[in-house]
Amino acid sequence: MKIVFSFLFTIFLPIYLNAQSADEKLLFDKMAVISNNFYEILNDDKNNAQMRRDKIIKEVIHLFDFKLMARLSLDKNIRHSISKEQYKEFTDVFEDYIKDFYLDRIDLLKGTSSNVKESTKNNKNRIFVKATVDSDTGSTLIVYKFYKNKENKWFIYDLEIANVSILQSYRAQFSSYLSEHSFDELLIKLKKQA
Amino acid sequence: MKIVFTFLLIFSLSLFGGDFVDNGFEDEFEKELVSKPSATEVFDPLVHYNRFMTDVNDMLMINVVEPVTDGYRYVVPQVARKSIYNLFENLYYPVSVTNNLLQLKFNYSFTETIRFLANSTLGILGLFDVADEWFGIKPHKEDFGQTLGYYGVGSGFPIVMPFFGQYNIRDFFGNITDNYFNPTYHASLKINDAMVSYTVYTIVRGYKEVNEYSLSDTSYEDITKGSFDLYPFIRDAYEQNRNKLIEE
Repeated sequence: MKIVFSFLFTIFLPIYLNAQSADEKLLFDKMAVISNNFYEILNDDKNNAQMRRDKIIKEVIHLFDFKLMARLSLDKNIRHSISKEQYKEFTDVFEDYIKDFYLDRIDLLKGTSSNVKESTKNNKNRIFVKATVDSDTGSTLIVYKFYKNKENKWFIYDLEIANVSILQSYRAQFSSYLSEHSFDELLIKLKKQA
Repeated sequence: MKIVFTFLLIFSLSLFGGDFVDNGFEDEFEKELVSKPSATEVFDPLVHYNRFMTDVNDMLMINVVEPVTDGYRYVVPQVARKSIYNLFENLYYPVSVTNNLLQLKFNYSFTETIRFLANSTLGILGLFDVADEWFGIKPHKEDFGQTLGYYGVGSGFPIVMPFFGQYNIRDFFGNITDNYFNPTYHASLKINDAMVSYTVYTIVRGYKEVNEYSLSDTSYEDITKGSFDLYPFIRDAYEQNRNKLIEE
């Protein structure tokens, strides 16, 4: 019996470890290529603001799962206390809100460069890719947090910029707001800001 | 043999499965999001004052600090502003080395000392960060708030200071303690009148903040524009950042 287990262990462990490191390397390489393309688009003077936005949407936006980001921006207790209709309305509005928030800030990165530093696997369905955005005045650490969906595809569900998680930040803001207001009021405010 | 196959099946599934069950899928992320100490339940007895002061600071930032900084950027070249920044950072050495030592980070205490010596001599009284640029020795700043956090002292409740912005009680008292190790503070104490002395020190600190802000690529408005609710946005960003610095 011992021999069977040892045999199995020896066979499966390298395959498992290899599969793990392959995912990390895959995302590291993918982010390095995308980052390179991103900065080429951003710093190409032939592109006006709208062209930049369109090209970057094509290049980058497929990496993000904005719908999941929207769903996770509400904590469990809030998610369970609202109706399905409210939940759907919220995710639809917030998905556009966060997408625009991200795209509207792309031009702020002009004149900077980015270096993908490392990727680490947190568990079998999470990989964090660390990169820096460097400029003359310093560098900022960005962590792209990926999860693996049921089709085995990796998507970004959170971004950590200078130690601040975007998702965590919205959760804190929504929870704080809901301690004094109703969910419908939150939806109205969100729609106004979107 | 059946047991072996059953075990094998379970083992393989647990290794290669990884499928999410759609029902309650978001709950899988709860652990990592809720476990953060800055999460959503915040004890904030000064919330009304804090909200008010955040709005005052917001107005000050947009209507006073932003235009003043723009003018300052226009008049003082970037290289000079960077040198002023380096000078203040070099003067921070006693605070940083003390707190590195208090946290038993002897390697960082050593590199901070090397940085101070190199920058004070080769870097002409700290005007140039030669330690980093020539020798690649990076700063490892620590403050007393971080030291208290390192030893498990909780952040306490949030408090917003006029102009200087977001703090928590731990960092607020940590900051007062750090002053006693800061040469800029001791220089201002040489002024006999206590009120003038405090005012001068506050102005110097304010100037340091404006100079540092002038070197930033991102404006205050760019950062805060995406917030849904300004005060909890700043409060949470502050706590997340401080927690991360303490973890490191």
